Amino acid sequence: MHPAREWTREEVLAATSKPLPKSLTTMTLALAAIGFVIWVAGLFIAPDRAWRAFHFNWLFFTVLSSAGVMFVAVQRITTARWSREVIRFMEGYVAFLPVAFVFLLVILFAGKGHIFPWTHEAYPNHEKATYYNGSFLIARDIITFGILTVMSLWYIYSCVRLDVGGSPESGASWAAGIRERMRTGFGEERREIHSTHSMQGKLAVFLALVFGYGWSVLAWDLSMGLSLHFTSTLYGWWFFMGGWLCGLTTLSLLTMAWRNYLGAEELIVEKHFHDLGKLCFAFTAFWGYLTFGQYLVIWYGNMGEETHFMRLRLIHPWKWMTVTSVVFAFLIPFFGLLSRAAKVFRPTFALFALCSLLGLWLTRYVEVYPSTFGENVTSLPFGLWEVGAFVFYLGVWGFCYTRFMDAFPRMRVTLMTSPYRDEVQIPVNPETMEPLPAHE
Amino acid sequence: MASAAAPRPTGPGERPNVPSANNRFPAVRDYEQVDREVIETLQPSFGWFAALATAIFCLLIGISTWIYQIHEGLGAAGYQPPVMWGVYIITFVFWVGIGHAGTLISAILYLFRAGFRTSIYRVSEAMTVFAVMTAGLFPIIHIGRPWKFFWLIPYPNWRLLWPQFKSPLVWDVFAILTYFTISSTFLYVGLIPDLAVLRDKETNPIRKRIFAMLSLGWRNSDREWRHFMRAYLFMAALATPLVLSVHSVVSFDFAMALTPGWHATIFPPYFVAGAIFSGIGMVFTIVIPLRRFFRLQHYITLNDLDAAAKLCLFTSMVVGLAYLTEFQIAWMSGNKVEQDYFWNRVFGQWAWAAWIMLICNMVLPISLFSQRLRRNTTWLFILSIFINIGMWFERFVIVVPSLSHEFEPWQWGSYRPTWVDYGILLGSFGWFFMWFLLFIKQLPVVAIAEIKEILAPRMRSQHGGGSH
Repeated sequence: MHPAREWTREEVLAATSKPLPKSLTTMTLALAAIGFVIWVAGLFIAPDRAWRAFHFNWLFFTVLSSAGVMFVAVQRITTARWSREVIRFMEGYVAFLPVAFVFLLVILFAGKGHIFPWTHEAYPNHEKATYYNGSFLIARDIITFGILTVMSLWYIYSCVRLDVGGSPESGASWAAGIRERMRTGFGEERREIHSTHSMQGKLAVFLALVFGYGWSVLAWDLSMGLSLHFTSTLYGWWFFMGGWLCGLTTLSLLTMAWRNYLGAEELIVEKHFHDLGKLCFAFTAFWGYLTFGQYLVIWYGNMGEETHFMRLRLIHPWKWMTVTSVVFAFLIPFFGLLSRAAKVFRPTFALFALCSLLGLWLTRYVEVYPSTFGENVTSLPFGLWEVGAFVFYLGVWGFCYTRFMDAFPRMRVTLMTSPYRDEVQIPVNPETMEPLPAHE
Repeated sequence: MASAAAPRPTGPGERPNVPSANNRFPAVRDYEQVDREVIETLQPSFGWFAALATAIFCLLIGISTWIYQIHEGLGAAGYQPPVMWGVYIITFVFWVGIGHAGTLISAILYLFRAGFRTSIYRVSEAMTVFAVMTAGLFPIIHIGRPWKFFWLIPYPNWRLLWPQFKSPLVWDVFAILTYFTISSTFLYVGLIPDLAVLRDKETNPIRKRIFAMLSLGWRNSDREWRHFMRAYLFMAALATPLVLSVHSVVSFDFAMALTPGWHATIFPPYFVAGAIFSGIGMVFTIVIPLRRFFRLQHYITLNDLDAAAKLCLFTSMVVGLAYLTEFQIAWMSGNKVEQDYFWNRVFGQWAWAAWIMLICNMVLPISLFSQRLRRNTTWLFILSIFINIGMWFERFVIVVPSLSHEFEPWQWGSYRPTWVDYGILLGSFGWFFMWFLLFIKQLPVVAIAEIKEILAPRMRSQHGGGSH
C-alpha cells in the first residue's frame, strides 16, 4: 500500500518540488486566450451556441473540480492511507472553483437569455413558474455554489496547511502570503495532526451534505431545467456522479503526468495505479447503472411527459452524439478496465481514462444542447464554438491548477513522514491525543 | 495456522483495551486465544435454547396462520381492492433489504479494504443468506395458491406456458435466486479455513467427519491460501454488482408501474441505499447482544461499531436526500396526481406511517453525528430497533398509500391488515432467527482466519522484526 521504503520529509520534498516549466503556464494562458477569442467571436456570429457551449463546459469543469474536492474529503471520512502520495494532485482542482463562481455569475446575469428557457418560454405550470422564477433561481444558485466554493477552499486550506506548516518555505512567490498565514499559529506537529484531523472530520461530513444537496439543486436548475417540461428524481444524483467519475479519471491522468515529470517512480507505485484503476472502473459501472436505471424506468413507463426528453436525444441530429457519449463514457472504459493488466499498464489506463472523459464531456453537451435547441435544427450544432469554449476552459482550469501546484507541497509530506501519522487512523480523543478504548 | 507464539506480556502502562492503527484487537494476544474464545461460543447454553424455542414458537404461529390462510383464502389477510399488495410485499422488500448490508460489508468493504468489516462480516453474511431465505417465502405466501409458484420459473416449455418475461415480478425471481446462490456460496467459501479449525479441534468423531468434508481437506498450505484468496476476491467481485442489482430489480416492481408515488427514476439507487441502511440496522440489532452474550467485545470492538455507525449515518443521509428529492420533484413537476399523493403521504390517511418513517430513518440517525453515541452500544441497539421499524414502515408508505389513492376518487379504498398478516410477519422473524440461532451454534460468528491475519504483524514484531 505504501512505497517500498521509509522516506524522510526532506527526501519527499526534494523529490517533488521541481518547479513547473514556464512554457506550461504560457501554454495554458495561450489556450485560454485562443478559446476566449473564439468565444468572443462566437458571441457576435452565433451567440446562442457560444453561450450554450460556455454553459456546458462550465458544467463539465465545475462539477469535476467540486467532485474532486469531495473525493479528497472522503479520504478523511474513510481515514484512507493509500492515497497520501497522490491526493494533493486532486486537491489542486479547488483552485478552479473561485473562477467557476465568477463564470457562474457571467452565465446567470449575462448569458441567461441565450441559455435558460425561463427567460423566453412560457412556464408550463405555476409550480415551474415559482421554482424557475429568474430571481429565485439566480439567488439560490449563487448562494449554493458560493457555500460549496467556500467550504471546498476551507477544506483544502486545512489539508495544505498541515504540509506548509511542517516544511521549509518554498514555492511560487504569489502564494507566499498564504503560506505565511498558514504558518501563523502552527504549533507542535503531533498536536496539529490531531487537531486538523478532528476539525476535518466535521468539515468533511458537512461538505458531503452540501455537495449532495447542493449539486442536486444546481443540477435541476442548470441542467435539468433547460427543459421546462422534464423532471426526473434521479437526475441530480446521475449528474453529480458523472462529475465524480470525471474527477477520478482526471486524477489518474494527472498522477501519470506528475509521476513522469517528477521522476517519482519510487513514491507513486504500481499499486496506486491499480487502486485508481479500480475506482475508475467501479464508478464507470456505477455511472452506467444510474444512466441505465434512469433510462429503463422512463422507457418502461412510456409517459409522454418523460419520454420526450429521451426521444429528443435519440432522434436526428442528436442521436449519434448521445450514442457516442454512452459508448465512450461507459462501454469502452467498462470493458477496457476490467482486467488488472489494463489498469496497471499506464498507456491502456490513460487511453480508457481519456475515453471516459471524452464521453462524459459529450454527456454534458447532450444534457444542454438538445434541450436548448430542441428539434429546430437540421444538422448537429457542433464545431468551432463548442471546441473553442472547451479550449478556453481547459486553459483556465490548467492555469489555476498549475498555479496551485507550484505554490504548495505536491504531496502530503506531513502525513507521509510524520512519526505520528498513524495515530489518527483509529478514533482518538483530540484533546488528550489518546486512542479511545477499543472495548468496554 | 497453528499457534505461533506465547501470549505477549502486557507492557508497562499498557492497558488491554488501548488500540493503535496496527493493533486493532489489543486484548487478543495469540492464535490459541482466538481459537479458544471463538470455539467457546459454540457451546450450547440455556439462553440460546430459550431464544431458539422462542424463535420456533414464533415460526409455528406463522406456519399455523399460513395454513389457515391457505384454507380460507387470501381474503383472510385483509386484502381488498384496490389494495392488493400489503404486508406480504412490504415484508418481502423489508427482508430482501436486510440482506444487502451483509453483502456490502462482506464484499464491497472487502474490496475497499475497510478494516472494520473483519469482525462483523461473518454475522452479516449469514444474516444475508437467512434474510434472503425469509424474503423468498413472501411472494409464495402472497400468491395465495403457493403450489402455483413454479409457474414463475422458466421450466421447459412443454405446456406452452412461459413466464411473462416483461414483468418485473419475474425479474425478481431471477434476482433473488442469483442473490441467494452467490451469497450462500460466498459465505461458504469464507468459512473453509474456519471449518478446518473446527475439524482440528473437534473431538466428536461424527462432527469431525462432517467438518472434514465441509473444509474440503484444507491443510493451511501456502498454495491453498493463494487459491483461496483468489477465489474469495472473485466471489467478492461477483457479489458486488448484486448489491446494486437485486434491490434495483425489487424497486422496478414499483417504479415500472404508473401508479402515483411509484413511477420514480430515483427508485433503484434509493432502494439500494435504503436496503443497506436497514441491513446495518439489523446488523446492530444482532451483533450488539451477540458480542455481549458471547463475550466477544474485544473482537467486535467499539471502533468497528463506530465505523459501522458512520456507514449507517451516511446511508440515512442518502435515504433522506431521496425522500426530500421525491417531495421536491413531485411539487415542481406540476403533476396533480403526484402532488396529491405526496401531500397525502405526510398529511393524509397514512400520515402516521410516513412520520414514523421520517423520524426513524431521517431524524433519529442524526444522533450518530455524536461520537459518544456511536460508541454507546445501548443507544446503537435502541436506534437499530427504530431503524428496523422505520424501514418496514418505509415500505408500508411506498406500497399502501399509492394503491389506496390512485387516480380517480372512486378507486380509493382502505386497507387494514388482519391478525393473519401479523401472524405471518411474526413467523418470518421466527424463521429468520431460528436459522440464525442454529448457525451461531454450529459455525463461528467471527472469522477466525481473518482475525488471525490482523494479529500476524504483532507476532513478527515480537520476534524482532518491525511492522510499522
